[in-house]
Amino acid sequence: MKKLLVLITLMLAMVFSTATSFASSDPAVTIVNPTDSSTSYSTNLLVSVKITKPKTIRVRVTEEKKKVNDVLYSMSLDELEKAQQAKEEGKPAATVVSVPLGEPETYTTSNNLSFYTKKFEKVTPGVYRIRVETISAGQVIFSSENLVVMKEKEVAATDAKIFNSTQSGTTTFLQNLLKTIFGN
Amino acid sequence: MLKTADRNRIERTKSILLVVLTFSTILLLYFFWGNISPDNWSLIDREEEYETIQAKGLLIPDRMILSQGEDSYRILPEDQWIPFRDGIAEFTGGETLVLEEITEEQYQAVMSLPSVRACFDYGIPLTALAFVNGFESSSVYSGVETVSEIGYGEVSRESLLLRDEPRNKYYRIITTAGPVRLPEFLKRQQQLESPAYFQLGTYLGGEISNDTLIPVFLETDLEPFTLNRENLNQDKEELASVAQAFFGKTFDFVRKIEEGNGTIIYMYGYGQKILISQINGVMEYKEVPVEAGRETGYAESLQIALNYITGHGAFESISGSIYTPALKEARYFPEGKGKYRFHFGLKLGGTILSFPEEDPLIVEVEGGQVVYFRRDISSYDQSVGNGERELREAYSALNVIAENADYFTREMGLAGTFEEVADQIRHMEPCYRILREEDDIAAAAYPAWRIRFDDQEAYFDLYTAEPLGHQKTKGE
Repeated sequence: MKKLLVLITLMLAMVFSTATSFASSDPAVTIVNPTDSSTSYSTNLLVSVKITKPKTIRVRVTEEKKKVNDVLYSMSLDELEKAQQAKEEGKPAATVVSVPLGEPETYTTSNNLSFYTKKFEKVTPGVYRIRVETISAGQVIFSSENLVVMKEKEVAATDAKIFNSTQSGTTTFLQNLLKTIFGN
Repeated sequence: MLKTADRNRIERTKSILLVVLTFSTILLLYFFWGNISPDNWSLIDREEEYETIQAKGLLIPDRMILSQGEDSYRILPEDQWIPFRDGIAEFTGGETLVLEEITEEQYQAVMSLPSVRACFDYGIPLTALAFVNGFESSSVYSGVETVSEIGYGEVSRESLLLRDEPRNKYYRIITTAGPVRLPEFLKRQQQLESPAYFQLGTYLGGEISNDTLIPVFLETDLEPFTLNRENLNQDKEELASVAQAFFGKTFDFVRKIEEGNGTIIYMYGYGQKILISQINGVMEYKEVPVEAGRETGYAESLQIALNYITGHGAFESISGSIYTPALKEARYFPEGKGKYRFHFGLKLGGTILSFPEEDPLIVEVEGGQVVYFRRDISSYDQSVGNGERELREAYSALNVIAENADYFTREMGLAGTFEEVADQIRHMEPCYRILREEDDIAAAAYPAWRIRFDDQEAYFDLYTAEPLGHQKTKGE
């Protein structure tokens, strides 16, 4: 009985120990831009990865698209999450295809603080996945990813929204009146 | 009777001869005392004719930034100031203008949408900027003390936005007319391709809100080169010729003093005018202000300074190395008749040269008179800028900051985490970093990243990110 208790204690210690828990993301590698599940109203996608130890990383960017009748369509973050959830629960789910945005890039740094940066131009609206893998001896030892929603620019704000149009109009009227009387 | 007539003729001839001899004596004494060759004989010193540099050409923005309404920006070529300026002239011409103070949020809201803004590293009086550029006169200009940014945005076509950074004030000038040139300019710029810049805060994931623009990728053709100060004290004739431009060709009442260390001083009268030519090639001139002088404004003082520079070697070395001038700073001292001190920098191929010591040209104008002039212009290797040079990728601007984080804290005394130090950056751009000891003749110019903080700036090799020193910011 004593032996069994010791065994259970040891097993529990191993299970809950941080030393044995598997960390999927590298603590020395952080995707700082874009932040996870953020929305960007732009046609430019800036990827910025902060690396705080000498490392080799591989960065791949894909657009997540749904496949309907062999045709790929851009999807929303909500659609992607529902498809993933349905797949996990074993329910029928939309087919999601990851379309690469350029070739994956490998970046090596020997510094204790460094950034990998990459800009993608003319990016169409959709959901994009930025996946960063830490490579050691040719093997992927850690990986992390962020999703970003790229949207078209918001409808431009109007002059009246930015400036108090009523106040400006009054000011303009008064100024014009004074100028008419006293000159420019 | 005839005898009397002959005597009279002889007497008249004698008188004429006496007059001729007297004049000859005076003339010969003039040549002898004045050390004047008959070749350049003239009773009056003629002013040499120069092509004067106009203040309009110096009051230009340090950079023009295009926002496409997204999170990326583009830096416009220097020559785009001219069509933008023409657009402002059209905007301000002929119609009623109204000035309104706005908030920083309103200013940033317009600038975050498709817009263009001209940024000056220091504040320029709006009245002076309007005057030198020939904008139609208006009372609204006097409502803004200095302008450090002029912006125009798609969202508010009838507004010209102004930022007075030293006073942290924002304005808009509203026109009753429908401007045509500025909207066209903005549309045209948005269609051009150029490297994209992002704000430093964006690279760092929004942890800080620093708006310093950093390129993702930059290619340049900047290469190192050498410079040499020109020591005129070894060439007495050349020095005398230069000194004549200050004292006139006759050197009347001018004493020349040679000091033991090789410095040569020309002094007029009892020190009313002094020219000091140092052995390291630096030349300084001081003049006592005259009583009758009148106070001159910013634009007029700048033009007086430029006229003076043009007449005293311009922005060019004695051996003919030509630079593009850049007005770096203008300080006003209100004491007495008011004095302006102008600091001029030098550019080569559009890239600023950053000197570790004083700026290459400094002029002080008081009461409409130049009272101080300092010139330190070197000649450069003439191969600079000749021929096609290969474009090279500059070291990642963001990694220059990241990999030198220790340098900022250890060598420059900046405190905080990497993000906190990065948040103190005010500007970053490529430049030529000049390295030389204060009294040395020879210097080396290295292509560098210049990172400017509030009161100091650091330099790093443009291609390797190796530190190239740091110094206090010279009043920009």
